Amino acid sequence: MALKTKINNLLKEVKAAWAICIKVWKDELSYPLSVLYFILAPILWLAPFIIFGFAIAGGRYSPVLEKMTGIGDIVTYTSLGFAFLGFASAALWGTGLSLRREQWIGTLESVLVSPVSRFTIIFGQGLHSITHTGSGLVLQLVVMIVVFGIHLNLWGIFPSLIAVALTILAIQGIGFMICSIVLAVKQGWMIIDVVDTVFWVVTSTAYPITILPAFLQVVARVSPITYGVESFRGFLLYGPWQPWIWQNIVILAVLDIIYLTLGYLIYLKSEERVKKKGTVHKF
Amino acid sequence: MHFAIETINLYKKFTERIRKFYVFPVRRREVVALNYVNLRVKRGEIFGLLGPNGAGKTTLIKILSTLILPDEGEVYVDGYDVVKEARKVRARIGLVTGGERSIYWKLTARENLLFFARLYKLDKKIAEQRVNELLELMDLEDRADDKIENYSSGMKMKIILAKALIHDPPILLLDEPTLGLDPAFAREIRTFIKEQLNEKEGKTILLTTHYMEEADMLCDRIALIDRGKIIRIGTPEELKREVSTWSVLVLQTAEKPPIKEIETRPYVEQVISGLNNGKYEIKIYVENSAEAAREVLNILNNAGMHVISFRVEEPTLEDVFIKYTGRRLKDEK
Amino acid sequence: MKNETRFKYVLVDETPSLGVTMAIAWKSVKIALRYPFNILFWALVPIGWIMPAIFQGLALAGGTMSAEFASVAGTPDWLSYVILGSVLYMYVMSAVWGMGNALRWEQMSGTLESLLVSPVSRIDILMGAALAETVTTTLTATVQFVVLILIFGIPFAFPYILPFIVILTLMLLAFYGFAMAMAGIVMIFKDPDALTQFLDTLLYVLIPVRYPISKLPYAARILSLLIPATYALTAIRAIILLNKDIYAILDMIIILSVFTLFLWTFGYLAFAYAEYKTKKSGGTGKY
Ligand SMILES: Nc1ncnc2c1ncn2[C@@H]1O[C@H](COP(=O)(O)OP(=O)(O)OP(=O)(O)O)[C@@H](O)[C@H]1O
Ligand SMILES: [Mg+2]
Repeated sequence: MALKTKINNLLKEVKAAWAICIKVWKDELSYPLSVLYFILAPILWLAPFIIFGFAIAGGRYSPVLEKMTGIGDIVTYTSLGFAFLGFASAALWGTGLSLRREQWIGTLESVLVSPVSRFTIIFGQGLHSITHTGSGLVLQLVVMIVVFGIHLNLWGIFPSLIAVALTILAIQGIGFMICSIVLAVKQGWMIIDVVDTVFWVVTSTAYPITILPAFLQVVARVSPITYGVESFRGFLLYGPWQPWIWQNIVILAVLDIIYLTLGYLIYLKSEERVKKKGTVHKF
Repeated sequence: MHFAIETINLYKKFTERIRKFYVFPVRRREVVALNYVNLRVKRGEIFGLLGPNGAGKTTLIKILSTLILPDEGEVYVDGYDVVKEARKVRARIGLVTGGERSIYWKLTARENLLFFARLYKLDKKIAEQRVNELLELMDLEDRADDKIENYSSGMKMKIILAKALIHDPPILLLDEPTLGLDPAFAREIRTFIKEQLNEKEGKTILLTTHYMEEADMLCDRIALIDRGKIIRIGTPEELKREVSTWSVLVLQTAEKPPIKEIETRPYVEQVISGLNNGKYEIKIYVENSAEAAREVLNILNNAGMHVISFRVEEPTLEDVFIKYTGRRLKDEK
Repeated sequence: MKNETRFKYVLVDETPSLGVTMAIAWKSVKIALRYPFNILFWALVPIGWIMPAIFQGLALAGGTMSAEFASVAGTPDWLSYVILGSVLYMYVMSAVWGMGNALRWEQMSGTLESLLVSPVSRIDILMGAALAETVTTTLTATVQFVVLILIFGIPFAFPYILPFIVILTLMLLAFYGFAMAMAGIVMIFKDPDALTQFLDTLLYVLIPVRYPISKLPYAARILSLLIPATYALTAIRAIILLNKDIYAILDMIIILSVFTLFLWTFGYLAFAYAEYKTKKSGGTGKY
């Protein structure tokens, strides 16, 4: 009995979240410009890194990069890295940003008292960013294959999705932690920018993490995206049968458990606090 | 001599785009906010615009203060055209609109007022003098160096009024000046508007409200406005005289009363009904209260309905509005 | 009688007054300083945005010098090139969006109508916002620059400080013209997130932030030449990294001046039109 209602409730939540996701999509696609941006953005983000790489290495091949990573082609290394980070970072923003915007506009309190649970809202927005950037990722890779002729191992596509899914899970955990801070601390939204920037710096998108200063390497090693991007790139280039890639996947799974548990616990705590104090901080 | 405010056949239509899925806006909704409005406000008058939500009050105030451009017609404020001589108009009006957010919450009251004094190009010395004068007038000198965010709603309203008065304009445009204030504070503001600003300083005041008591007590003349049209203009007494032969029967019943039937009776002019605390309440406007009361009670008796309460009221300003529109000022259905 | 032709009256405006511009700017700076944490935040976080380019450079070149880079940029020191370009890019962006963001802020906080109803020139409102923005971003850009110099220990020399300031001022002036048009767009579209992001990202690719425009595909290079920042960045690098004097960049100064004239005319007309539009649609107070 209890289980059945629980499942029913969960289904309702998912449906509501899906509705929110669809609504955001519609809002987004109702502006011609944002459609254009949606198509061009992934390529525009990547462009400076590719062009800069060409300018520095004098072409698309860098022996230094090859010595460090085993991959000498700047375009292949960088475009795979960026496709993945763009995706992961959007998952983070979908969760955090939804709250930040509401708080900024000052309507957060009204959202919090509305019948839709805030978890659903966060979940719905997250769903939107995942579907949004997911399609962006595919687009980006297609352009890279067509324009630059990068070679992918087709057998790696399916396992690479495992890397994507596991990374999103861990990011949801981190997203919940961030939400807790946003809810509890004055000007807490700033933390989203900070976290996003840190990921941006420590992820091995255009360079391996061994190039980073020691303290940043430590941060990189606890970041789930590090393992996500390595296995994503590994699967797509070398196929599913490399043991070192699976080692990364295992680490990622462990991080998932840690971050989700932590995130959930912290979120519960902060929610309790907010309810006790009765207010949500304005920006 | 020209009027303080004059509108001639003022017309304003808003077009709202309703976006639909995929790329281009498709549907539009048109709202006629002001439908050929003619108004003349005399100097030194307190003039009230009384009307329900969406009547066009704010639109009118914003056109007078040059924030919205009219579509058709002529509009003069202090003799100047609001479109061609917007700058002169702006220097001659003080505007209160948009609730308590129209000043900077992160600045203190004094900083706010000094800033706006600079916008009206007051000299530094004169500005400081004027700010002190206003703070004293508002009885807020001791809080002058507190940030606005720490003020109560009433105090914020006072600073917003002071801001509108900074350049001592001859004409004040007040959009719902007492909205959201607690009753005591609202009364204080009303007295201030009437005694200080109008009687003592001789300012012309145009204010909008949907509280009929406010219009009744404050205004020399009132325009009833509904759906962009001026329905009636006159002093509160004149307006009330229009319904002086009426009485209002107020009944509460447990079940839904047969309104259609009541409406067809002799002496009955208008019937308004609604739910009040789970009971049906009907207001029946009648010419002959004794006759009509007998008729109505008969109908209800015959229908086997239980009348919870019954009373007879004198007509108010709102009833003038009801007489001409068949609807109430507040909580429209 | 219809009022459709009355757009021209919007241009019948008050004469600008330096006093009012300063008052508006000072007010905004004062409010900005009441969020001191924000200023620090916006100075430090963008440093993180520059880092990936630097780490990428290190991973590809194996050091801070690159002979290949020298063959296109004139200097092998790509690190200084990137740092200078990135800090200036953020400076440019704040010039482009400063006015629009300020108007938007006033609109959201409910004070825009209080400004618009006062008898001050639109130029004063816009320039006041721009001035305040310049003050705060000069502050943040300086902090960024100093922090980056400290991190990487680059000895930047400013042998010709005057031409540097001339070029910087001209660049800001040119962009303020453009910014007026953007402020108009913000007034009309309220929350043009997609537009601002799009322009930001596009500009980042097109103007020489990390690499000289000769590395761009042909069509992109043509677009790049239509943007004043391209000239400003090239000129500033010529002064600081290549030790050129003011005569070497005279052509850039002339081009920027022409841009400024053109963009101001365009920007002012665009803003006046946008104001006319919002006053027609009654959108000044809404967000
Ligand atoms: N900028 C706008 N765009 C579209 N429609 C508008 C706009 N401003 C007002 N309207 C519409 O015009 C009508 C008149 O609005 P207005 O705000 O003037 O009414 P009001 O009398 O002030 O009402 P309230 O008592 O609610 O303040 C309403 O139907 C409103 O929806
Ligand atoms: Mg109104």
